[in-house]
Amino acid sequence: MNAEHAEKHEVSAGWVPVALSADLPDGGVMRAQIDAELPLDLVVWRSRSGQVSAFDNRCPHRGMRLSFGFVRGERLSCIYHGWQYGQDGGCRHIPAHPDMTPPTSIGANTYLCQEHDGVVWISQHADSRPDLPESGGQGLRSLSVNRDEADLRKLLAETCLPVSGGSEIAPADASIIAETQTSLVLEVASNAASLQLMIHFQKVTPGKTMLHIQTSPDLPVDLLISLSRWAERFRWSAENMGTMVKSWDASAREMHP
Amino acid sequence: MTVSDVARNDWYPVAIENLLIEGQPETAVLMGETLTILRAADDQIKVIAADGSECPLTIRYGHVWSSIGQPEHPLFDIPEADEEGRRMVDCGPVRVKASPLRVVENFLDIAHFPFVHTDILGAEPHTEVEPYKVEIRDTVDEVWATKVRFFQPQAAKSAEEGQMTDYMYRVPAPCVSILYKTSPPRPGAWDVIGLFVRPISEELCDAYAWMALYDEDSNQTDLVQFQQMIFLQDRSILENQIPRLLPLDPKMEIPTRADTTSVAYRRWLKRKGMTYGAQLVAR
Amino acid sequence: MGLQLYDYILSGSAYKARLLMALLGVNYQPIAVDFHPGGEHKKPDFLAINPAGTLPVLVDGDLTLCDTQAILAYLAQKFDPTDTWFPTSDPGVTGRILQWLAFAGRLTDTAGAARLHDMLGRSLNIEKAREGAHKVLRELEAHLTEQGLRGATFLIGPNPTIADIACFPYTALSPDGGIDHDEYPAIRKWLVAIRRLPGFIEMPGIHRLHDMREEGDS
Repeated sequence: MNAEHAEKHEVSAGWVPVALSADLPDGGVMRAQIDAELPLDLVVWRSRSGQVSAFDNRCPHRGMRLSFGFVRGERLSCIYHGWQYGQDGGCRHIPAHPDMTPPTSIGANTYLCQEHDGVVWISQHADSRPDLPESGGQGLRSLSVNRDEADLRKLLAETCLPVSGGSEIAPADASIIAETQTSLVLEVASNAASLQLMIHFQKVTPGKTMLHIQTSPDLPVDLLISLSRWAERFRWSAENMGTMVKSWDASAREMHP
Repeated sequence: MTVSDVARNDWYPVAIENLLIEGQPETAVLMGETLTILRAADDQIKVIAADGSECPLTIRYGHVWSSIGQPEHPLFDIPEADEEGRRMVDCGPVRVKASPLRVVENFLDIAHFPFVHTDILGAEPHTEVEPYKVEIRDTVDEVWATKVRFFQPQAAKSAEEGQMTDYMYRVPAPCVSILYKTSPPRPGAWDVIGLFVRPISEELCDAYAWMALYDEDSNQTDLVQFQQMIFLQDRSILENQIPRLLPLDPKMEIPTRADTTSVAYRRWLKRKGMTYGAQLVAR
Repeated sequence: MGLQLYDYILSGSAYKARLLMALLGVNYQPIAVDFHPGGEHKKPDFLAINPAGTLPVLVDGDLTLCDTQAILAYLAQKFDPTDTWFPTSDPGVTGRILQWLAFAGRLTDTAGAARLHDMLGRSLNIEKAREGAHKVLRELEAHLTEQGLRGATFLIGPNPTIADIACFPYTALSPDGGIDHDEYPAIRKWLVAIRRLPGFIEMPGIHRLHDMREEGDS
């Protein structure tokens, strides 16, 4: 990490998950927002050789969001004037002045970015690696929910998951078997099969959370699809939770004025 | 914020003159104030403020111009607008969630052509911007850039092949940018393209493109839509520049020699006290 | 006389026809209609061609088609030698394609409307349009996620169809109306897959995929 480009931002969380590895292919560029002590707006990108990097989502030239940029080789280019950045954030090339070596003072602010077990993580702190259970899982999907993380964890503690028993897929009670600051592992153990879901939480903005969801490996496609649909139903419950409670309260008041 | 006098006492486009129909008034918001523009029974055009008072009025370059203050100067002059043989083209307003000053500054920039207007106004590997000349002309209080050259695959609707294009840029008012470029059918003459910006707020504006050019072959709609295409390609850039307000502190963003016009524009704005749509320190 | 398309450069609907014709390698004559600022599409000369006052309109000899989805179906049937853009041999596939053509209408009515409001100042309930757009995009995201789990890249299967073309423009352009794609990774993947198709053309608001040109290419 290039110390010249690092600026100190106070961030309370350590590592934060921002994407499933499969959703950031070689040459991919995406935006990640993190709700921390100072809200972060980041560009996360993967070079052609597979290296992930994260910068402040702002080109130092004219403030253009780098998440609109494109990857060539091992560099991220800004869409506006094509300025190219290496993985350490240093500006390597300015197309308007192709023969000039850009001054080392020009660069994008970088963040630690690491891939672990199929998930891409961001950190502000020079730590070793993300604190999460070893999962060996496969990516299922990332899902945005308009709800705070704390509410979602509570709801997940009470959920059922679809499991396959022979040719059928039916819901079974899930329990939380592991929980960390960033993640939660749900397990269903039944006679026919055991199934795990690893859910990693990204606080995006107040009231919005991205869930990055992995499953046990080698599940059949129809079960994976059922799990994707479970995620949709879970989101619906989470987002309509408040409404349901409110309407119950209103009707209760009507009965007992 | 209260609008500074510099911003208040200036002319801004509020309507396209020949689209105003008697009995169908239009509204336009100018720096937070709603103006009504109408064509009366005697064909007179009026601009009325929210409190019912009449606003200053100039009709020029196909547009109705007005003010929420009292401009002490007339609207800038573009002599080419009166030249015979030119087509006058009103391209219509496009709304952009950006500072009017960011919109003007983008119109002064050529280094983005190969990346944003790819294969039209520029193409890789022809990305180099050679040194050009910039001055603040104090007698007229305008920013001018001259001797600008760039290779263009399709310089205008009228262009049949790629060519080196000569450019001049002119900022006659904080929210107006005018460019002059080699006219493909008439080398030696300049096609003129103006961008007239009306700030709705500090971070939202309506941009009216207008052209006075030589083109005997294209129909009017094709000319309008060529320019709309160019502006719409810029719009998603403009809406994603952070901070939204144009930084006037030179330490906040990093220019290179290709940005000499924008550096002069920002310095000129600061000198004039034009802070509407700008920030002196990070806000 | 060949194909003619009554067109507007900024119309996402007209772009559906332009894009499919580019992908199929079909030549046509564009006829620009002054949608904005002139409102020509609502005036008598154009209404004589299409009483609905909408764009695009395709004219092929005696045939005039005034609905975007109908235009896509016609172009695919007439000009696709591979029979993959709108295959009609399997009723299930045809049904699914028509379902997604209808879905595309909901994208137009939400994301497309938000874009008209933000870009051209059209009066409408913008909060409702954006909320509606996110609801529709969530449905698209869920379906594309499932397609991904099945190993399929496009809406109906491994190959693009007119369903993808119908849904592409207003999805790709939704940021013009304040609706970003940050929470839709499956949609982002699908948008890139379409932009990589041989013969793909952009429209204003959709940038060229510059990454397809490598460093040092001249």
